[in-house]
Amino acid sequence: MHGVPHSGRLGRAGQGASIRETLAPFALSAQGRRFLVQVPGAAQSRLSDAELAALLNWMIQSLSRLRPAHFRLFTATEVASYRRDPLVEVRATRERLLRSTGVAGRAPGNGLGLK
Amino acid sequence: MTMKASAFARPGSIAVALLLALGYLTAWAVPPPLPADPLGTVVSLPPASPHWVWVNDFVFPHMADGQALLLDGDNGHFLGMLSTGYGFSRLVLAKDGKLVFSPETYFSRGTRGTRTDVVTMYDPTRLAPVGEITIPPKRSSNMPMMGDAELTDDGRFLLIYNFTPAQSVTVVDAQSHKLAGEIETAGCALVYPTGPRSFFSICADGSLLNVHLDNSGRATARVRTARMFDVAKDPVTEKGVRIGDAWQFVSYGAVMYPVEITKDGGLLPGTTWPLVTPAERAEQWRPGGLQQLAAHTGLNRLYAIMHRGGPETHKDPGKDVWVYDLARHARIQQIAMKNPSGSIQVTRDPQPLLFSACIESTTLDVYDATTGAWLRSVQNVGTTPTLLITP
Amino acid sequence: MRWLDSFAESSTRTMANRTSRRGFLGSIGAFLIGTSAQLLLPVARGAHAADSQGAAKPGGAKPDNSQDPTSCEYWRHCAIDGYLCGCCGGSQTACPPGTEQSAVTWVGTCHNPADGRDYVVSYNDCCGKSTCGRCLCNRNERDTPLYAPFESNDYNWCSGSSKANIPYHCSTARIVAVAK
Repeated sequence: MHGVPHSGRLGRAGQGASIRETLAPFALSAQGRRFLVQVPGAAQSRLSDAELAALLNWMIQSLSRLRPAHFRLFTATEVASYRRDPLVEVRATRERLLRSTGVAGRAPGNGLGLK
Repeated sequence: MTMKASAFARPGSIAVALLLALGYLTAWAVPPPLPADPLGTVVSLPPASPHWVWVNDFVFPHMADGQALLLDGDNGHFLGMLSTGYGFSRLVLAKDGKLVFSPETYFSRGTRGTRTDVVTMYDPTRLAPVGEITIPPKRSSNMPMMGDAELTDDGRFLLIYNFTPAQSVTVVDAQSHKLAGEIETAGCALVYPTGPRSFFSICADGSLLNVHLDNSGRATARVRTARMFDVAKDPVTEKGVRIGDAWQFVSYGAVMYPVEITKDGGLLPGTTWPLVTPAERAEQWRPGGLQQLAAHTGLNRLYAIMHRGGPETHKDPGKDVWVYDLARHARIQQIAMKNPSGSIQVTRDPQPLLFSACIESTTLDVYDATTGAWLRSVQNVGTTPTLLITP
Repeated sequence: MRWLDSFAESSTRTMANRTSRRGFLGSIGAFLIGTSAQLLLPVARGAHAADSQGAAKPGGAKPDNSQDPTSCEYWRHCAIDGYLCGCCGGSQTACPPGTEQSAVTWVGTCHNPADGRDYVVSYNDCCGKSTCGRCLCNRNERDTPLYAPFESNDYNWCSGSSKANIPYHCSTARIVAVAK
C-alpha cells in the first residue's frame, strides 16, 4: 500500500484531527450528525440518502476509534432532511464541533482569516 | 620584360581589358559596408489594439513552462510572450490596460521541491514582470478555464480559484497589490464575477454560491441559491460567458441556461433555450471544445463550437461555429471552420474578429466575426493552446 | 475536503479489498475513492490514436483494443485523461520509478466487454516528474465538469495539499470495485 494510514496522529500540519477521531463524537450530537451529512463530499456525492446513511453507519461502526455504546443509526429520512440544506460555513462549523465535542487536535487554519 | 604591342590587340586580351574596365566602373556603385548594429535594443509595444489576442498555453507535455503568446489579429504578427510557470491557466488583463496579472505556480527545483504560488504583475508594453504578490500555494491546477481567475467588475479585486481538494477563493487587491484574504467556497468551483463586489461559484448540486465582498475584499455574504440546473440529467459546462447582466451556460445536451444578475446582486435562472432544433438533436449536434462559447455584447451575439457526437464527446473540438442572436434566441449564422476548433474568442470592438485555436494544433485562425470570412492563419503558436483572451 | 482526504488515504483501499458484498460496497468504494480528481488534458481521442498501439486506422476494420492496457481503447480507460503509466515505466496499477502515487483521484465507471460487468476505475496519478509524454489518452464517458470534482478528469490531483503536491507524470487505472 502506498502511503501511511493515519494511525491516530493528527494528520498533516494544520490539518487537525483525523476522521477516525471525529466520526463517533460528531455522531452523538444533532449538530454533529447534521455536519456529517452536509459536508460537501457527503452531501453532493452520487449516493442516495439510504446509501449515504448506510455508509455513515458503516464508517462509524468499522472505522471510528471510538465505538459508542448507544450510537443511533442514521436513516435515509434523517439524511434527507439534512441534505436539503447545503452547508456554507463548513470550516467554522467543524471548528465549533471540535471544540464542543472536546476532540483533541489543532483546529485548522492558515493565518489568512479564512471565512 | 617587354611585350610586343600586338599582344594587346588579341581578341582574348580585349575581352580581359573590357572586363577590367567594367570592374573599375562598377566598383564606384558598390555601397559602403554596413555599420555595426547597436547592442541592447529591445522592442516595446504600443498600447494594445482591440484586435490583439493572448493565447494562453499550459504546455501540457512540459507543464513547468507555461506561456502566454501575444499576436496581432490584423496582420498575424507574433508580438511577444510571457513565461508563466507550472500548470499555467490564464492571464487576467487589468481593466485599464496598465497591468497584466498572472496567477502562477513555481517549484523550487522546477519540477519538484517547495511550491510557491504568486500573482505576477507584468508591464503590458515591455512584457516584463514588475512585481509579484505571494498567494496561498493552492491555486487549482486543472484544464484551463476562464473561471480559474477573474477580476470583479470594477477591476478592484482579483479572484483565484483554489482546489486542494478543499475549495476556496483567494482574493487579491488589484489596486494595492496585496493579498486581501481567502474565502471558503466548499462544494463549489470557479469564479464568475457579477458586479463590483460580487461573484458566484457553481456547486456540485447545480446551485450557485453567491458571494458578496466588502471594500477590503472579505466576504460579507455567502448564499447558496436554489438549483439552477439538473446535474444528473443535463449538466452545464463550466465554460459560460458573460453578456451584460447575464451569464450564459451551455449544457452537454446543447441547451442554454442563462443566469441573470438582479439589481440587488441576486441570481435568478433565466429561461432556457436550445442551440439545436429537434432534428439536429436527433443527429447528436452538441457543443464541444475547451473555450466553447464566445459573446459579443455590442452585437448581442453568442458563438458556439458545435460538432456531432454522443454525450461523451462534450469536450471534442468541432469544425462548426454557430452564431445566435441573443435577443431572439435564434441562430443567424453557421460558420464552417477551416480547422477543428476547440477555443474561440471574439474581440470587443464594433468590427470584431473571431479567433480560433485548438489544443491539438499550433495554428491560430482569424475570421471576420460578422461575416464569418476567414482572414488569415498564424503558424507555430504555442504547444497546447488553451484560452484566448482579448483586451 | 479534509473529511474525505484523510478517509480516502487510510481506509478505502482496505475496504475496497474486502468487497465481498459487492453491490453496496462497490458503490461505497466509488464514493470513497472518488474524493480527488485528477487533472487531465482533454484531447479528443481520435487525434492521438497514433500514440496508442494498435489504434484503429481510418477506413479499415477497427481492431478490438479493449483488452490491451497500452491502448487508449483499453476498457479501463473510459474516463482517463493523461499519459498511460504503462508506457512510462509503470503499469495500469503501478507508478514508474521515482514517482509518487497520489492517493486521491477521480473515478470512472467502465464496462469490461470480456466479462460484461461495469467496474469502478480509479485513475490515481503518479507525480513528481514532468509529464511522461507517451501514450496520451483522453476519454470522457460520464465525465462531469469541474464543479462536480469526483468524476471530473479535468483536475490535476498531483497538486494541492496531498502528499503528491508535485507535477503530474502519468495516470494509472486501478479497479476499485464492481459498479452497482
